[in-house]
Amino acid sequence: MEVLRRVWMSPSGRIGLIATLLVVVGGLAAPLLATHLPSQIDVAARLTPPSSAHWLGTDQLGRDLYSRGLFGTRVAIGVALAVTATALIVGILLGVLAASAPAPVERAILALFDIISSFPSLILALSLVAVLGPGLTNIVILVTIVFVPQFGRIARAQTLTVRQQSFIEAERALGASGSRIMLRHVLPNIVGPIVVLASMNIPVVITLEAGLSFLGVGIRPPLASWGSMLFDGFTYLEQSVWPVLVSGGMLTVATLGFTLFGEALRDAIDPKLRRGA
Amino acid sequence: MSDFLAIRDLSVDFAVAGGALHVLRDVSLTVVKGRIVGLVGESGSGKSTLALALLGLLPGNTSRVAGAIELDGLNLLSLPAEALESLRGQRIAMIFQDPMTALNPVFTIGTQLVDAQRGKYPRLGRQALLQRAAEMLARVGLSDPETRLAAYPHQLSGGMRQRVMIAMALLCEPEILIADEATTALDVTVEAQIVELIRDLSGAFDGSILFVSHSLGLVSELADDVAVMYAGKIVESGPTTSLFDDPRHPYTRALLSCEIDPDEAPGTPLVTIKGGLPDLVDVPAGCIFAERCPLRFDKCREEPPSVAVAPGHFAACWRA
Amino acid sequence: MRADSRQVLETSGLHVTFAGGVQAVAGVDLGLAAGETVGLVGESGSGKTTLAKALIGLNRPSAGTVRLDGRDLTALKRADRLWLRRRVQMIFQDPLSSLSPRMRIRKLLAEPLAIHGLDAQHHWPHVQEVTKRLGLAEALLDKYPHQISGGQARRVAIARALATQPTFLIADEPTAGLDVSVQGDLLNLLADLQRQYALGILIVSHNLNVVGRITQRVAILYLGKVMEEGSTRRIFQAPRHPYTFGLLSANPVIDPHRRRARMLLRGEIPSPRNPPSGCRFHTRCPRVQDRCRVEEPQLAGDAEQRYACHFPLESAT
Repeated sequence: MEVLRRVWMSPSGRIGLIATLLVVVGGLAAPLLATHLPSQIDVAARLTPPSSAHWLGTDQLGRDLYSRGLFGTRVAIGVALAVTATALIVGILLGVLAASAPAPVERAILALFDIISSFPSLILALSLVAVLGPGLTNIVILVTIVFVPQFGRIARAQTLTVRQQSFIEAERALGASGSRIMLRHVLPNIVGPIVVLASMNIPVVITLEAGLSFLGVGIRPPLASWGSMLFDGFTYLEQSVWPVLVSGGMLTVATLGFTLFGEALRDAIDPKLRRGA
Repeated sequence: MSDFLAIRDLSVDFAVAGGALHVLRDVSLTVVKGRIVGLVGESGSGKSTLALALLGLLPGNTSRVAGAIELDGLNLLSLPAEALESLRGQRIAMIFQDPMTALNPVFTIGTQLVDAQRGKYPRLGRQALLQRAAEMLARVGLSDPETRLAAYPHQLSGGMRQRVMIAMALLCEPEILIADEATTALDVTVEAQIVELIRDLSGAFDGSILFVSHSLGLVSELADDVAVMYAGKIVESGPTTSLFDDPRHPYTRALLSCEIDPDEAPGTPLVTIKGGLPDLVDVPAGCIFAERCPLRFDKCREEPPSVAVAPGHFAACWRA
Repeated sequence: MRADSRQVLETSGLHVTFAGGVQAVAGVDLGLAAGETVGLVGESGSGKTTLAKALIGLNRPSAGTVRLDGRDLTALKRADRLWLRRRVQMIFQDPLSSLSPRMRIRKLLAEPLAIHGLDAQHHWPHVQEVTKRLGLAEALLDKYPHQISGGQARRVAIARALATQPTFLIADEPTAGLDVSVQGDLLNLLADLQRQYALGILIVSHNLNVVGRITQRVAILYLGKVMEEGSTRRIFQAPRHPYTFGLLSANPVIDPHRRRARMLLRGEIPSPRNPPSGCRFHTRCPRVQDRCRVEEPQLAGDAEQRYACHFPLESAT
């Protein structure tokens, strides 16, 4: 609560928090808030500007942009949360394992991290799509793979740092077992910085998913995605700017909101991480 | 003997969450030329703040500075920042507690000793300055000065680094040398060497030394004059022999009785001063030590004046 | 030397070698009996903290043994190691950083019981008694370590160490960073606790005043070896080893009438990575002879005072 209060105190944090809440609520409540089904085609009303029937206009198939955008929010948030949560858990497990396991295991895990992160994330994602094929589940899996190393590295570094501290030695002196020290004393002290990193990772995932969908290798129709909406919008840009404006606008609000919120969260949780301070 | 450095009614406040922390209140102290003055006090006494005030290096949350610090008649508090900066290192130098953090790890000792002299001797070349540095290192007891000049701080032991710090401070022939807990981080045998070095150097050095320490033992061995601080006030000051032979302020006495007497039978409980430091945000009226003083009486609700109890020996106590 | 009925924690021929060949402890015989206070004195780099940690099993001996009641600690199985930890406890130099930062004080105090599988209902009253004895208020128990003062953290660390009712307590620099006006409190407290619980206390310290006053026996360590050991009173009054004398005379004394003839030691403690040949102290010893450079002196003397020196100082008697 204290952390949220501090986020709220900073102007950019407040904007971020509002935008984030807007996006999350919009995504969760999409079926309630939508005026049309997201894939309901109305050939008579193709590429219309906003009207009382279609609040933000329609796309090239006459689908309602407002409703489609809301369901796109759902996909974007869902993918971002699923990816970040899985990458977080897998990363922490691998990182802690690397920090505590014998040297060969540690080297193998670090080498894996290095291999994954030596590719630019979009290129790696594209090549994994080529292997696994497109689709929602595959997108979640491959984007997770892309993001595991950064969480794993931080988890390992944090574990090594925390284990050096004298309260760990004090616990050993009391007779605490290795697993007890890991679960009760190391883990609680490493999750803070990693969760902050995770919150800042969400907009990156959203953009990456949109990018893949834009390229046609991400979320498949009939599911709505901001990326594919954006691509369709570009194709018909000369006839209507509304599809691009709506999908691009939503993408901007979501990424900007999460970024500002993540930065404010980082500053609120750990003033020492603040840039320039 | 002349009053060389005179601190008059110096008060310093730090801004804190609850208001202003009155770290120093009406502190007056004179340092006579050529003497070693020991400034002794426990944590929270304000002794380090006083040392920083002399250098014009008070922290950023300082909200008020009042009074005067006069060096040969020049009030340091009214000087502009640039004038103070050129004074530091040239007329006033400081030796810190931790020589590792006070030395820059990426430059050699020689480079740092040369840079320290640039302000004072802008006309001398690097070779001449290195020559002076080597001579000074020899004077502070470092063997093989040429090799030391080429070394990096981490290649020297703690005692050697403190000798380098002393050399750096002395290179510009300051008039005031401030040593703030300069031996606290050192082992006892090395501490004794550094104290001996400071004593030896003070003979050849015509300035004054302000030796700030929490250790009554060290101050009694090294200083000519002593000032005892408690909670932002100087409670007693005077020549070392007079003050330690006949302490007149109850705090000084209490502090001395807390020192462990090696001849006391084992098992006898050790003496402590009951209670804690007073609140320095809302400073209680009257004598600052009254709350913990065994001799307290009604009059202590008023602030005691500093009374002369012997020549040059003052105690701020109604019972002194 | 000691009544055999008492529990004893002792090392024999203890070596602790770190990676890179640093011999932090190089052959130490040290005993601590229940109910007595022993001082371990040395400069930084002497190996005193390494030795202390070997006594509670945090550092593994590379040779020699640590025995508790005659049982070799290195040969213990996990369940037996818990038995050791219950009996030998340690308070660390920096009390605040020895408390896990995300646990409340109450949980920190209960943790030793949980670790040792002690029934909380049955043993908590003892913990409460100790916390009360240490003057820790009930309200403090719901705070986190960063919310309490350094002095309180020190008391919490002591309470944690005493929660399992140990026989031996190892205190690493217990007065480091304390003002003189409060260090007496802590030392009186340790003395009281010792009487009340018949503790054997090992004080690891560089503060000679503290060691001289509250210990019955003392060992002076230099580069991982014992230079002199025995009765604290005897050694402080009439040291035989030049290093002990050098240490004692470096200790500042307020009363000018009590200042003894000084012997200022030159130089600093050499690196334990490459200790001097012969007597380890010969590089700094004012009484050094050729023999000291080649032949290592062995501890000799009586039970009251033993010293490792070829050319000891005159005995007081």
